Amino acid sequence: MWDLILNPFITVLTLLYSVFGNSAVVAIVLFTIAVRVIMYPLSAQQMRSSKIMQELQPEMKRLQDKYKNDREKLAQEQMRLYREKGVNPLGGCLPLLIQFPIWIGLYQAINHALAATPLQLIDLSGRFLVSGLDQLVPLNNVWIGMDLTQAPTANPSYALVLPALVLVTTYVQSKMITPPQQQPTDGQPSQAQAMTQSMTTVMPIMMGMFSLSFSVGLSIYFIVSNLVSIFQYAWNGQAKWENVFSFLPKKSAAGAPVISGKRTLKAQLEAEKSAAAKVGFSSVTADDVEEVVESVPVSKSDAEDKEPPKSRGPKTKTKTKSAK
Amino acid sequence: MILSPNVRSNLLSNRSLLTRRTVLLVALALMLLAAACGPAPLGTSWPAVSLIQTSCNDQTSTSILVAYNEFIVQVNPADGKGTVLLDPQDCQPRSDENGNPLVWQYKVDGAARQFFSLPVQYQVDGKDQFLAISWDQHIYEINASAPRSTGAEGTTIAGRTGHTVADLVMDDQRIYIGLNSKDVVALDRDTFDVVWAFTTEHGVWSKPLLDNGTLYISSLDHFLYAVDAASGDLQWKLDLNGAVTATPVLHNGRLYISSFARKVFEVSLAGEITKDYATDDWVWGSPSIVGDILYIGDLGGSVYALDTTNGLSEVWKRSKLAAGAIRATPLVYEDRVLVAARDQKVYWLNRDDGSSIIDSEGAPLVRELPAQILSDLLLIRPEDQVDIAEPYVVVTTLSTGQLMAAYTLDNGENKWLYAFQ
Repeated sequence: MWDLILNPFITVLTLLYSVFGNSAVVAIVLFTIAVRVIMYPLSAQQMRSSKIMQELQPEMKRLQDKYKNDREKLAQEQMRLYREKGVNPLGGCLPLLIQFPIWIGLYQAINHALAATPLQLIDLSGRFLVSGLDQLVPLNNVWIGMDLTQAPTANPSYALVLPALVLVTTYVQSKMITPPQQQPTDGQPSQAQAMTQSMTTVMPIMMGMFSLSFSVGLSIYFIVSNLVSIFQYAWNGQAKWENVFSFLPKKSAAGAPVISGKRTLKAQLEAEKSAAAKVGFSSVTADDVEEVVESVPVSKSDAEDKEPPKSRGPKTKTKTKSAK
Repeated sequence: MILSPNVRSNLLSNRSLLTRRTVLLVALALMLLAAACGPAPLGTSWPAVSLIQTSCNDQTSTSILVAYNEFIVQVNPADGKGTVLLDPQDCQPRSDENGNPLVWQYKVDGAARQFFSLPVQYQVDGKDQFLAISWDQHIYEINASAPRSTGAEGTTIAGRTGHTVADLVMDDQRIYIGLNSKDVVALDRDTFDVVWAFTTEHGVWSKPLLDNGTLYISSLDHFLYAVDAASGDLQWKLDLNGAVTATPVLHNGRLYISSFARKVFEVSLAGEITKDYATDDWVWGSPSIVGDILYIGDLGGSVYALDTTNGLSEVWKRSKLAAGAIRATPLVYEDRVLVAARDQKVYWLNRDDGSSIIDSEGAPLVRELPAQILSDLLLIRPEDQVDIAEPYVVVTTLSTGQLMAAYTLDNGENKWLYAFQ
């Protein structure tokens, strides 16, 4: 079953190798780009679905809050919301599930084609779907002085640039697709958000570490794959560059500025107070504002916080509704 | 005081920052630990096995020598138990403080310090020694009577890094080693200094053939090389149109070798192809030549018998006999040919026509093991100074849990199993 993916991949990879001057690196780069481009419709669907789900988050939070004691009703209302918006909650998972074996196949094909060990080479037999390609085996695995089948640590020192690039590109990729921090309605810290934040830091380091042990050829695959992914998100308008470059103003899911210091916290509290007063609901007092602000520990970012970031979008629906 | 969810969230996220950072630090520490351990190169290659004879005073004994992963062990071919260490003074079995017999076992530490090439046996001052090379190219001299390395870390080859899976070759003065980093090096047998190095265009994974002062080297770069063993000078090279992973076999003044070009070649000692035979798939292993008939298997699972006296004409062929690759050299004994395959099976064939030998229940005589078989089969005979009544075949798998099994050659009766302890 697995061979249905692996064998064509190995064949195409070797074909590219033979067409482009017996260069394994060119073959890996082109093949990775080609596979990611072919899978773009699936990626785009996943990105679209993810975006819609993000946009629905405030409404979902409101429903969760409203029906927190009635799970059945909550499920009904959620399904109603999905129907109204024409969203399939699993719409983002299916493309991902389809893509996953392809990515694994791509990874395995590169690993097999480079055939670093006798067991890997013996496993290549019978995998070529085009006659004559097996005469090219084993592929030329040296690129600018590096053995593609060996780990960067077993290559010249400049090969260590590759794990660093894997780390950087993975970091950029994971940061730019991380959804903005949602404001919880139940007063509890969001475990999912904390996990996401941790993963965006841990994953790049983990990939960098793996790349130190994996072959140089696989590092090239990781880098190209990350770059293509970054390009695709940017092309789709979903790249959150403000997550990567801190000097860019941050936005929440619905475009509201994210609170990062005492001054902005104070500003938000004042805004809440003002909004509440407009609808005749004034339980937030000036003392409350001062009390809350003073209770927040002073951080380095507070000291540097000269003024609250400019809002680039309208206030969130959540905020308006909570004031009502 | 009533606070909106936005405000509460910001307050609580500040409080949970410390927890998040702790989780992050723990995760990082675990990853660093994992990275430090590094990936063990398990699944790199297959066990190297051979039959050896060692002597203690006037006593000669036969053992199976196996090198696989971090171990080199000796096994008694009669019962499949670890060979008991003998005291070099009185040749009596040695035992530990509890009276348990000590078995011959050599182990190295470190993930990369693993063995896939066969150690060579030699003598120093009349005492048996072994020379072994690990996957990461560390050379170990091992005292046969007390299996400890003379240097715990082994000796590296000057100026060379990379891996080695090829078996070693040794003569009176030199050690010849094929390296994955394209070279074959000749080392001084005493100092391990590099005497000469010959560079091919790709890795050398097979044991070079040394004959009459010439070293025949197979390379993954598709060429067979003849090199002067004394100087390392090239005598000739021959393109075999596909990766070459087999050691050539010399028979009646001709070399017989196969390649990934799906061919078996007959090559003159002057470096010219005199005959060839097309196979169905890549051929990895070396042939077995008995009575002028060459027996070989391919990675598609087919087996061939070719007449070397008649231009490699086909005597018989068993297409797709096995469901997996046949890497191991077929074992030929009297009227039968035994073939081991990656489908975990050993097949008994009639030597005359390649038909399956039928067992007492009327079915083809086949034995199945729990793991892939890629190592060469070993023939154990009573005349090899082994206390057995009839010949055995010893099959070696990739599984350390059932590393070796011995069967009678006659009817495939299982005599013993051996697992790494």
